[in-house]
Amino acid sequence: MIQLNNIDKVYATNTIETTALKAINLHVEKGEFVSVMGPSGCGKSTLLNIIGLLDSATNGEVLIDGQSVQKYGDIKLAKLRNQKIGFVFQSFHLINDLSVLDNVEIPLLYRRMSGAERKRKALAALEKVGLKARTKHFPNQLSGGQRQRVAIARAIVGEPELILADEPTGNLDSVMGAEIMDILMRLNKEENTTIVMVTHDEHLAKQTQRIIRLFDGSQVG
Amino acid sequence: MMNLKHLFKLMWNRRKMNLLMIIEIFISFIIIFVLAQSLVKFAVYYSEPLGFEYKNIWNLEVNSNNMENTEARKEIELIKQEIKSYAEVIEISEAYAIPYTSVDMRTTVELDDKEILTNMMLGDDNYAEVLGIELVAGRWFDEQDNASNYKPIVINRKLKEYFFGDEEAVGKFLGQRDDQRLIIGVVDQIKKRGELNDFGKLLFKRINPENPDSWIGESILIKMKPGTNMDFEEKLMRRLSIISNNFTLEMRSLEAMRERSFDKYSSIVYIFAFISLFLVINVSLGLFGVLWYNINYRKSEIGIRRSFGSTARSIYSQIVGETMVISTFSLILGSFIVFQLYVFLRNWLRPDIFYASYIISVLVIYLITAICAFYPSKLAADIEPAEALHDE
Repeated sequence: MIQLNNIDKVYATNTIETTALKAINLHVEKGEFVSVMGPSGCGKSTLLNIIGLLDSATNGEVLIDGQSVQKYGDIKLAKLRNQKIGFVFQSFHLINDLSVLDNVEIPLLYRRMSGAERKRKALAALEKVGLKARTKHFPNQLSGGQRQRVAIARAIVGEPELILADEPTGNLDSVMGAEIMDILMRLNKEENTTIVMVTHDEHLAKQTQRIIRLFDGSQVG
Repeated sequence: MMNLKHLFKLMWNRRKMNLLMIIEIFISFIIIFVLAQSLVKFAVYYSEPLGFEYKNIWNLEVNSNNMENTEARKEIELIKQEIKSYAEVIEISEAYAIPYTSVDMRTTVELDDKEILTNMMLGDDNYAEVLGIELVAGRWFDEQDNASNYKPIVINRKLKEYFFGDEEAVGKFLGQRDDQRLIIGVVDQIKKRGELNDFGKLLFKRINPENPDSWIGESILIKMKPGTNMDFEEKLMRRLSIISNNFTLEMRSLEAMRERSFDKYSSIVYIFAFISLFLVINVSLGLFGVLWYNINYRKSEIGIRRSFGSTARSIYSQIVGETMVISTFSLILGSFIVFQLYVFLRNWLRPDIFYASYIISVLVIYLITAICAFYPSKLAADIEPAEALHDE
């Protein structure tokens, strides 16, 4: 499903160049649940952003479903992100001025779909994460765990084949974290969704099928 | 394409923040409308006919120095006779409160329950011919008026419309003090102060040299043959100073008087244009600042939308669209205020100038807000989604 060939990422300013990723080669099969581990600043989030087409690599090639995306323009990349990928972020990244239901509907706004269909799908996604009763709440009326569940509902509402989760339990206590992990595991098992998860938590990483370890921008395991 | 319901919902949920912008744009609209009123007014006045001719017309100012009326009349008739004797002179007219002078006369006229303070000018029977004034109805003063039981007046179209609307005015009466004045003619606009000024409602009274009670003019307008030069003016003035013992005389061409008046009013236009430009720049910078702040505040939202499938183009269309909707709310509020003002001041505001200024102000506001929203939203939309998300 995902193939990274010799990916480098260098952040350059006028005075300094910082290498975030060096010669990363990675292959993730469809239906796999992979975790990415490593110390802070080792390039985990950068790797996830490149896989999710949120950032571009300095060198190397990214293939999604066997298609190189290097030459894709903004419209094609946006379409790929919309239809194939769902994101879950550590800090939830919900829009505070929108209700839970409206937040979940966001990916569907960029598809041709009626309002009723959008609502039906958003409610179904919220049901999967156990938040159907909170559709009219706003993010700041929810706990951290509930917000992350909304974020997961938003990630899965468009039925993407790939979910990229950047430390999804990083801002949650262990009980909440376990709940979120359960949801992700269920999505992977029941819906065969491919998941790449960045985590610091060894215990969570061990629950996934494979662990990719990074150190100083290089793949060490 | 962004869903409109979603867009409005988001704007409604952010109403407190948007209210600030609505107020900012509303105030900007009012400022621009007031400025547009002034500038459009000057432009419209400039485009309209002056109503009289000024080329080859000289103005001899005659100051009787408080002489007794009969004596002054005798002397002014001598002066007029002398001027008319020259071949260079086509026609002359005795007048009071002529174009381009600072002498303004006003009088109240009434009809039934309506009354209004109107401008007034005085001229003899040759006045319309000398100044090339065309009548739109009736006639100018002439000898027929000597035998009339009523004092004749000529009014302009604005005064006619005020009292009679579309109806004929010639042959009807207007009250002035205790007198009934017979309207014998209607002229179009006479812009006494020049191209950049609307002289408003106006009536002319007759100077009748045969009537000892009639006004004595302070000007003798002289229509010269084209090409008459300044040597003739010197010759004429030398001769007149011999004839006239008591009058103070001064000659100026109407063209020179027009130039001086035009310079005076055009410098007002330049000052207004400069102030307008300064205020429009200030308004733009203010709006730009508010929009820049709002868009930066929304960087995380932009990152989220980009992550879930929005293109850069769709992001700035959304932000520019939202700004246009907010501008529309401000303009609805602004329109309500300016139309109330129009109803309140309708006797002083011209509808054509009002509507032109209104349309210009609306377009300027949409243009400024579109430009101010476009640039920062394009910058924000063009950054990598990962960077936008990182900026929370």
